[in-house]
Amino acid sequence: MISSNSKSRTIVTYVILILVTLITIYPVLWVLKVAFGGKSLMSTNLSLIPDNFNLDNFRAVFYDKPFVIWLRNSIIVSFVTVLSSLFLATTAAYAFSRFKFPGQKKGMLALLVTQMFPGVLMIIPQFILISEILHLYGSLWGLVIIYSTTALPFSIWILKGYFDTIPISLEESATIDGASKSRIFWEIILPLSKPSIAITGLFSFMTAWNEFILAATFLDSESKYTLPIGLRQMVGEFGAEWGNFAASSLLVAIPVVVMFMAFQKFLVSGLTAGGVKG
Amino acid sequence: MKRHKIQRMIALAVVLMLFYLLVGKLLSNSLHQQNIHYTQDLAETDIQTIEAVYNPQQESSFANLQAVLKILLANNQDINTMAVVNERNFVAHSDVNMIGERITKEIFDRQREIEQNYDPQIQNSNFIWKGSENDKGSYTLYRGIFAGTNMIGFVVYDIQYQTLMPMKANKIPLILFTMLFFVIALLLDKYIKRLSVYLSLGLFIILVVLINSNIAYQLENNHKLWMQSQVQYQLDLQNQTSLLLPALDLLTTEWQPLIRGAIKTWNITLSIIGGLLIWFVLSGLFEKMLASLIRYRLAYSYITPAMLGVFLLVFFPFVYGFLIGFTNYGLNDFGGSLLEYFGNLKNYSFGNLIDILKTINFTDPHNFYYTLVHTILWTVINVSLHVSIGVMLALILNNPQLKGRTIFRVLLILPWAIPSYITALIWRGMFHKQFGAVNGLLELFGIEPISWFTQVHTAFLANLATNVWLGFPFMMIIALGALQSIPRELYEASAIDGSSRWQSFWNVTFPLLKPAMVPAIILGTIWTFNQFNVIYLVSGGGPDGATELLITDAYKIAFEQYRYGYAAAYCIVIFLLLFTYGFWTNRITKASEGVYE
Repeated sequence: MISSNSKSRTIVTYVILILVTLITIYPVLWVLKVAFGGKSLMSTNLSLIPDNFNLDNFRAVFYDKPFVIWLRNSIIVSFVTVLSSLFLATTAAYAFSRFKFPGQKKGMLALLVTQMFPGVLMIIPQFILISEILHLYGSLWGLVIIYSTTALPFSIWILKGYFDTIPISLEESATIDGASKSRIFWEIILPLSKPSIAITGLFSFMTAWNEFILAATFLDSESKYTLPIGLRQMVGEFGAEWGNFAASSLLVAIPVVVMFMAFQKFLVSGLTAGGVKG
Repeated sequence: MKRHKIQRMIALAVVLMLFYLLVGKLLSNSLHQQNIHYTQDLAETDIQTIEAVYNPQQESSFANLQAVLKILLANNQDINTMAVVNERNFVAHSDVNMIGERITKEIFDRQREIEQNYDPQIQNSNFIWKGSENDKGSYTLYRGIFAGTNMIGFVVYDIQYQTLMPMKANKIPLILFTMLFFVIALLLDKYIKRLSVYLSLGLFIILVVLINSNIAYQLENNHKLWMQSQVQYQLDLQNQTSLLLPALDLLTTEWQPLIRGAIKTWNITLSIIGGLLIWFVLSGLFEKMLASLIRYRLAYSYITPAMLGVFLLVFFPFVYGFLIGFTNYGLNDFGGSLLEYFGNLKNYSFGNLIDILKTINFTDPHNFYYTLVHTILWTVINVSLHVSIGVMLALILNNPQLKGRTIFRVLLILPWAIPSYITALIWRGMFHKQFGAVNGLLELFGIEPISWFTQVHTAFLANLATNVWLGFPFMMIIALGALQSIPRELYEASAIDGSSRWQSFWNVTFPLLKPAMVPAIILGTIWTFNQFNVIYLVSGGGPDGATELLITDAYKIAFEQYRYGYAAAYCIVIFLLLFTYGFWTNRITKASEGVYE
């Protein structure tokens, strides 16, 4: 009696799980189908195997669309964002972790408070700032500036939490050996905190790579689009190139998904551990 | 004199010097902005009409030249240098485009015609070109004009220089004068407490007045000089028709009130800033700060770049956003001086907030309360689905006997990994009427294809499906993490007590899941409340704004209607709502500490 009950329960469990998983991955498989299906799209056929397997869409994306330009723009924006925000965040986090100075606690608190600021309320002033004061409207640099600074508070908190876990005795012995503070920072602390730097870097990268609203607001010409805006344009109000869109979204999402999956173990535990310790 | 007093004075000197430099820079910027404004105003005049008015054959030169000037300005938004040659030729320079070029040529021809009758003696001039390299094309044209002109002397009337020069020329005596005053004040400070503070405050006001009247004086003077030469010129010219003279007149008279206006708006702001600055230095705060800056210079040098960036691009925009919300700042104010707009108290009111909140209408999609109800409904449905699906899946996946746990986990986490804008666009395709998979599924059950985005409830469903798909993995991962930390023994104990599965869920799982889920739910609520990408990219807020959230509505008001002030007020309301919510749950800081959006 009990065993049959638990057996039927197991079956129900599996059915639910498989059903939900199917629903979850169906859109992804649908994109695969559309991407490899060429232009033949006008059917509501549920089958996931393209009627006519070809690479036309990928070819079109690379040769007929400014995809390569958008890719280049996105790569520039993301990498500069990662580099600049990592540089700023590691130095600041190190100071917050190791030095004692007036305003230390207040500074960390201020950084925390910024996380409560609503994004859209900031867009308008940021837009005015970028276009009216810095005159960077339509330029990728405007985006880089905004991305790298908005990612900073979070990165500083995470990195500071990690730096706190590095034993201070290491630095003391280095000081006795005559190393300067900046040398300790570059040659001892940074190499030791690679994992934490990697994850903050990943997050800054994802911010810049996936960001849509700011990019849509600050960029005006097609040659300056980043990938999110470019992809949206393909299937936006005036375009309906679903095949091209599917092919490009595969190209854009795969690296991010791979990275995300590789880092997923650290995702919750790794981040919160550092945050709580700070 | 004591050492700290000398220090204080040196500090004051440095601070004041910087302040004056800044003021000079700001003033000239402000005036330059005014210039752009003025040019834009002129540009709004209909060019066609002006062309009709301008007829070089006619002798009514005054009207003609106003027209020429207007056309020149209208076609050269970037005019920044105006050359006045012998008070007779007035040339606006910039990138000369088609119309501008033609008219410049006409002026040139006409001018030469006059010159032939007047005084063709002097051919060369010591004209110094101050324009940029790009203006070389027009430069040739101007040279033509200059070559054919009788050159007694010339003034380069550069709007930027004109405004900077009086400031530049007279700042140093003013600073010295101020310094002297402060020295006396500080010396006396020993005997009369706080005297220096009062004195300096009073002095500052006098100073501002001095600066202003100085600029005004310079302008008057320029004008006077110009008038004199004009009279002289008229005498010289006798009955000759001067083409360009009235244009200059127009320019000068139009300019003076503008400059005075700029100075006026600066008065209050400058007095406040300067007063604070002086108090800051004299109260010793500045010294203290400087001392700690020097003492902890290493630490500060490490944090300054990052903190400066965060301050300028995160804190400042936040405060600034609040300011904008109380103004009617819009597209028309773009290009004008920001400090002037936001420094003017007249521009502030509660009008926007009142406008947003005053009419209560739950059926009009463009009404705030309709959108608010829609947003709350959207949030509640979404979050409850996220949590129930997430927790259910976590409970299933937490069973160690389940085969293929890791694979399911990885597959189910997929929606979280895919960039959300791609997700949204994919679902937009899935709901496509002709080839969308959703209609394909409905077809299997014999239901006619639905045009999802033309009706309110179907559009809502499409958005909902997308966001549920997008959001449940987060809840699942959080719940899974919490479940894994629940010790097995508790279930065993509960089983021994004879409780059913359901009972043990409520008595063991639920209480232990709660502490992990509450922050996640608060965070999820805020994310969903502000879910921009899904709404904007899936239904686009349609049909007719009926599926708009507060956040997308605010965005559209700002960047489609260009009513920045109104949109910022909208954002303030959203912020206050969320803030109240966060305050109410009283855990918001803990929630936002861990996971970043």
